[in-house]
Amino acid sequence: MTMANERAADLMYDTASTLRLLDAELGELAPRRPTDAGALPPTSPSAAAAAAAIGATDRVLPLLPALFVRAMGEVHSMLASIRTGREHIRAATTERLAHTNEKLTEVSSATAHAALDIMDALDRAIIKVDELETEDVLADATKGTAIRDDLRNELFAVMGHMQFQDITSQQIMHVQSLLAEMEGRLADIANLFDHQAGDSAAAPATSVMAERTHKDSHSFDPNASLADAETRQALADSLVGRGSTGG
Amino acid sequence: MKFLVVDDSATMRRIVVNSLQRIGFTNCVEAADGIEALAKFDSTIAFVITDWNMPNMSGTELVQALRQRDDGRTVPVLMVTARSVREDIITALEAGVNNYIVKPFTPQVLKEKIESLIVAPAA
Repeated sequence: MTMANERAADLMYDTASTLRLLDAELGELAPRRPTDAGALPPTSPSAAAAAAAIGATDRVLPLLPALFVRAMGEVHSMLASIRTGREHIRAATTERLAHTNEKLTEVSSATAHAALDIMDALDRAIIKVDELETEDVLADATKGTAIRDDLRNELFAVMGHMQFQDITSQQIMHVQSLLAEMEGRLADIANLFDHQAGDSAAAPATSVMAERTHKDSHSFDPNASLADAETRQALADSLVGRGSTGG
Repeated sequence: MKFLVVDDSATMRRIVVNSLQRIGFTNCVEAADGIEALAKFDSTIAFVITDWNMPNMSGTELVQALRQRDDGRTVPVLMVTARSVREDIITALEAGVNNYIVKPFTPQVLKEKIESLIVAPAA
């Protein structure tokens, strides 16, 4: 991507130079054309200037086809480079947007799942509290102790379900990093077409985002997930076991 | 028995500390990243539980730093992390981690892993 941008920028620079040269040559001709020398007396100063202009035209005109061909070739190369760059950007951005969408869906799903687990645990805890107030339990201390233990377990389970917050925050940080990356790519495109705007507006915003993303990049696992925890723990156990037995 | 619990998520530190208390380990020190953990680590720490992904210094970097210290060479280190790719687990073990828990975990798993690394659980 960066190479494509640099190539396109170089081509734009070359093309701009050529066009400026062309413009200068045409500029030399432009003031003289309206006063075409044919209608003026041959002895006047204007007539002399017109004659000089005709001479200049004769010198410049043979150069124009070559200049046009050169400019056209460079514009053509630049457009090809831009098309290539655009394809790279489109492919990368589409893929990342799909991944971003997937991650946000996972965050939403994980949050809903954890909320339901917490609600279920609290429902069970409320039932235990109700049981503690029944006459049967009030008359039997052993039953009361068992129910209180169950109640503690349910409340503790609620705390365990709060782990979703750590996982989802890592997933959101990953989405932020993807968005920052896409913002950087868009800023590159903007800078390619408008160096001035890129220097004054886009660059500072991008650098702040990039700086923050870089700082946070060690704080999250892009693959963090609440799914299949038991399977993943089993893999860890097998690798730890293999390590401890020297296998 | 004194535990050092290292995680940049305050929620996770609280969950781990509460789980430890429930198991019977009530003496815990907390740190938010590897650098703070190294500053708080001393010979009184008998067990380290650390996350992997943290700002400033990661869990694997912390373990490597601990293994360079005389007082941290043999301290049991349990990593509790969301990372669960095979290569990651191997990297952690090679860095000096003794056992590995994948988030989200249950208190029972935490208890089993701690007990596997200590001779006798705290009373």
